[in-house]
Amino acid sequence: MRVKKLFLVLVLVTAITGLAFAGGEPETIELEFMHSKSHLGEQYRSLCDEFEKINPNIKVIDEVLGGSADWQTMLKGRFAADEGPDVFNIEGLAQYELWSENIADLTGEPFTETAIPSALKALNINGRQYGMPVNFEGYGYIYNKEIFADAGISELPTTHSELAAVAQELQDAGYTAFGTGYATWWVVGLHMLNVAFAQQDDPVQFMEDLTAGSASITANKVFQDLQDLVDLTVEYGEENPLTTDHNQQIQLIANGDVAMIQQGVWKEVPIFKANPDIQISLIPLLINDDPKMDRVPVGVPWYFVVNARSTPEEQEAGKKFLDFMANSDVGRRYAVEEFGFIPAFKGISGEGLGGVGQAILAFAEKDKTIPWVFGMWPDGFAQQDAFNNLQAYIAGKQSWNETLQALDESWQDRSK
Amino acid sequence: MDRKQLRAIKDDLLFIGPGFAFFVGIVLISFVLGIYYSFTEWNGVNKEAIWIGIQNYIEIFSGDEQAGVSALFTARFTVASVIIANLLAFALALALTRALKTDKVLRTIIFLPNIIGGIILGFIWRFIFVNSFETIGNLTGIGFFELPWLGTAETGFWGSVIVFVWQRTGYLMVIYVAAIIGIKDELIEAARIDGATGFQLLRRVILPLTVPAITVCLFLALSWTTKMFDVIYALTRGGPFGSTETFAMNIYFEAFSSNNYGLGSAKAIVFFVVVGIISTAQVLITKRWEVEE
Repeated sequence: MRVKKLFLVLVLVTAITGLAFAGGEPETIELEFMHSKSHLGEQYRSLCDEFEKINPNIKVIDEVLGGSADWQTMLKGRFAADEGPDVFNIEGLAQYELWSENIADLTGEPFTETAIPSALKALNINGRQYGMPVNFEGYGYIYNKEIFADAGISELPTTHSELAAVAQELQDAGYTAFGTGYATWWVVGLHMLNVAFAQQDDPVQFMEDLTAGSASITANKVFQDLQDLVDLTVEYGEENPLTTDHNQQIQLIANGDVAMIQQGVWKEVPIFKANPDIQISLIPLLINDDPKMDRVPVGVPWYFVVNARSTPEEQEAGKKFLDFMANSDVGRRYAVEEFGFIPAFKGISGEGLGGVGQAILAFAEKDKTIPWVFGMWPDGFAQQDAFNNLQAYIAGKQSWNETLQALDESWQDRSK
Repeated sequence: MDRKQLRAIKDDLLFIGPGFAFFVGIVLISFVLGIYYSFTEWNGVNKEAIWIGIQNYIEIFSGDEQAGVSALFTARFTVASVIIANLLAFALALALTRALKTDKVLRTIIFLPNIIGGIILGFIWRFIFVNSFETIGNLTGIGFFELPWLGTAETGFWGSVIVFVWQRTGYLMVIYVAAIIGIKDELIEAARIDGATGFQLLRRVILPLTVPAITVCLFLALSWTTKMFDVIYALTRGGPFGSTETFAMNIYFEAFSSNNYGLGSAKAIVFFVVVGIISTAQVLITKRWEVEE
């Protein structure tokens, strides 16, 4: 008898989970939504609930892949098993190339009208739109306003020399200027290096020339000058830069142990969690004394895409969900108030953002921004080679020139 | 075929079948697929993998610097960890087979780190090395704690060894304890009566009779260390500057973060052959040391 019962349960379970695939019940569509914003898991779930209220025939199954989990590897596993989610997020052009067989065309969806045009650009390929921007993010040196005031710094630095002077003043006042975070690959290998790429007169052309072999990192002035910034942060930084990761950076700034950390707007929520009273804002990474250094890298870190292998009904539901996130009042309210996003859509006010978000908006309004270009770097360039070589320089294992040469070699190797 | 034979086959199937099915499904098929992918160029996502022959194997042996670095690290890590963990485990086993009052409790405590998952353990030790050691160093001024733990190649290496030894010694110790307890009391008594000193007893009686356990422990430790991934991934993620990247991590990064699934598979096959040769050699050699009671 027991065996029979067990069998019955098994049949039931299979039937229920199989529904979505068998399509036996056309009235409810199960929309699998996967995102990698692990710290916004709950907020996204309640947004899904709001969506379900308006669309009773769609059930959103949300899943978070992210944080310290290696979400891309997990996503590959899901696709290998032919169980790819219906809506998921990717990181820009290089990842579009990786996933292109699985990404549906979103040209003509309502969000293409309401999004800020520059936010659409990275995933607009030959006039077709393949992804919906999630938000804008920016980064630089997040600084503690009170420490700056206490050290008597009244003018914010806009050039490298001024930044060096500020670091000295901070030290004289008894503060450690920088919490470097150089143990985390994306702090040093991705974000810091991005500034040197993005400060080129025409970054895209520069990268194409690198691939073609007609430009070089080693011979480039901005990259040569980047050494001064690295040296400055190490000299005036915390004791062991290669053991401080991005989580410790948060502790360092929240506890008032350092005056600045190289981080972005995404760390505002954790910083305020650790110290609700802290007053923070943001300045750019200043590589040399060129006035154009006073610009902040602003980019779209995530795009939502729809799985081209899903059934047409699921794809429709996915597009509806994207429209809901971008254009409904609820979706727009969530973006700023619940997620703390700098909106990528027209007509959303940035009020209610924290000090760092406000500072980034202010830079953007003055048109003082540079792009995020690492979405166009070859796979593994930042995460492996740039990270390892910059760390080796910081540890004193190789010269700056050797470091730049290694970057050139890696670019050549990996863009083959 | 008579009834008896049929029954025997049925029994075999019943006992071996399920395990074998899982082995085939999870290990064997993946392995064969891996061999296939090692001859292709594939990013891990596209439907089509392009056949490129032995191109990947040529690439491995022609100037993949980081692969060389990680192979060397794995070799050094294996030698240091296998020796230290086994010596320590053996010493602990000797100590805890003496009639101590607390031996059972101590054995349990020393075994405990084994039941913590590798990733969690790596994160815990990362915290200990980076935060706790620093605090202890600042308070006491002892040089050992003031080192930039995990921030240099040397501290990264020894940090990895310390964590491995801490995690696995207990397991090896349990095997040694069983072997030492299994030595017949008469043998030890007889040696004592003949006037053997403690060292002679160890050298001439206990060691030769625990060689089967040594074979097993060396084999286990070798296979753990050569294939090391999770603990060090969480502890250092291969850093600083790739100096603590194990070969298994190198394969993973190649396949999943550089999106060269074919090249990663080829590395994995080469790795399999090398580890297979080393492990077989080790078992053959230690087998020869074994003696009959």
